[in-house]
This record gives sequence, structure tokens and C-alpha cells, in this order.
Amino acid sequence: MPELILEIANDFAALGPASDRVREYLDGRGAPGAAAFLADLVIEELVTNSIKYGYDDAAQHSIRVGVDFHDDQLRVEVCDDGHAFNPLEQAAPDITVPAEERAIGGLGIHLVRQMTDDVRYERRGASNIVTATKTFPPAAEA
Amino acid sequence: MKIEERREGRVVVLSVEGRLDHAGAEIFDAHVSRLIAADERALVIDFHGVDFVASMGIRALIKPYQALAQQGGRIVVANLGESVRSVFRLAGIDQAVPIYDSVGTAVAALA
Repeated sequence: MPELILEIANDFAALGPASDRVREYLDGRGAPGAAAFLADLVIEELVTNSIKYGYDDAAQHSIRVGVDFHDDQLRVEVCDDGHAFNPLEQAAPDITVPAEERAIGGLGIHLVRQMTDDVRYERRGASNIVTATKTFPPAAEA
Repeated sequence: MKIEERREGRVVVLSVEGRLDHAGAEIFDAHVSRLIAADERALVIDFHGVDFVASMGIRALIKPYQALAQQGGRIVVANLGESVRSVFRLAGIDQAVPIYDSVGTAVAALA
């Protein structure tokens, strides 16, 4: 089980306060600033995906966000109860196309893939679970 | 998200403060769209106060970049922090939108 677990509504307004809680937790764990930035990015992108594409109704849903930082490794888990949706199957954007002609889409999951060591998707019961991990080099000893 | 606007000749400088996330991107998009609709053609975005950018923030920058490119205008950015710069690089947007180390050099490039 991740050490920090937040239940947030499927509402973009919930992301700011969730980010504050995650940063507070990671600061307390002595995680580097880059880990806080990455956790923020992963949560923002994955929860945005869930809110935009996960639900077939307009009802309020709860999205569970888990964060853990141990042994220099950050683990972020996002779990929703939407229909089965694997964000990792989205086509990667062609970032070599000039920005003038660039199609807009798939960029969020591309950033998550590029910035983490590993991202995996799992359908468990009625839940989608995406877990991203990244190990940060320990701070140099003086 | 706070945006301060000032003018240097024909160049409009926007100093952005806060998170360029989903919510921030909407505010940014509305502000920049209004400037482009008012025929502003040279924009410098000062990222000094931006500590977080997500894909929605990148999109909010690509959109006016594309609009201005079609109209002979330009948008450039200045003062990117290290993490924000790495998101720009991984999104490939650093190949398109010019990045300057200071607002002064950005304004000079557009003037």
C-alpha cells in the first residue's frame, strides 16, 4: 500500500489541493525537488486522462491517488472506476513534426513515459490502475 | 495563476506566476487569445514565476504559436526553470518556440 493515499473527485479543481498534499508528503520524506515535480506531473496527466476519457456518465466519481517515496524510489498510483481504458495504448505524438503542424493529443502520457523509469496499466475488477515509478540518484554526500 | 502584462514598444510581455496545469492553461489561453484578437503580434512569456507545467500548459503555448505563425507574428519564452525546461524538451516544443535566458534578450529579439 502506498504511504499517502488521497481520494479525489473527478473534477479538475481537485488537482491543485491534491498537489499541495503530495508535495507536503514528499518534502517530509526528504525527496528531491525533481521527485515532487514528477509526482505532480504524473498525477496531473493521469487524473486528467481519467476525468476526460474514463467515465460514461456525469456522476461524481472518486479517483484514488497513491504516492510513496522509499529508498530513493518514487511510486505514483492512480486508480479510477471508469470503463476499461489503457492510456498506454494511446499513440505517441510525433514530436519531430514542426509545432505549426503538430496534432494535439497524447502528449501527457508521452511525458509520463519519458520522465519515469516504468509505467504500467492494470485492469483489476472494475478499476483501472496506472502505476509509474522512478528512482532518483541519492543526494551526493558532502 | 497570475498574469501581469506590460508593454515594451510593440512587444507585450506576460509575466506568469503559478502552475501551468489544466486550470492555469485555461487562464493563460484566455489571456493570450484576447491579445491575439486585439492584433498583438509579438509576445514574450516570462516563465520566471512558473514552477510547474503539464501537457495542457504546453498545448496552451502551441496553440497561440500556431495562430501567430500564420499571421506573421511570434511568441517566445524566457526564464525557464530546470524542470519546466525538461518538459519543453521532452515535448519537443523547444525545437519550435524560441527560448531566451532573460526577458531583455527575448524582447530585443522581437523588437
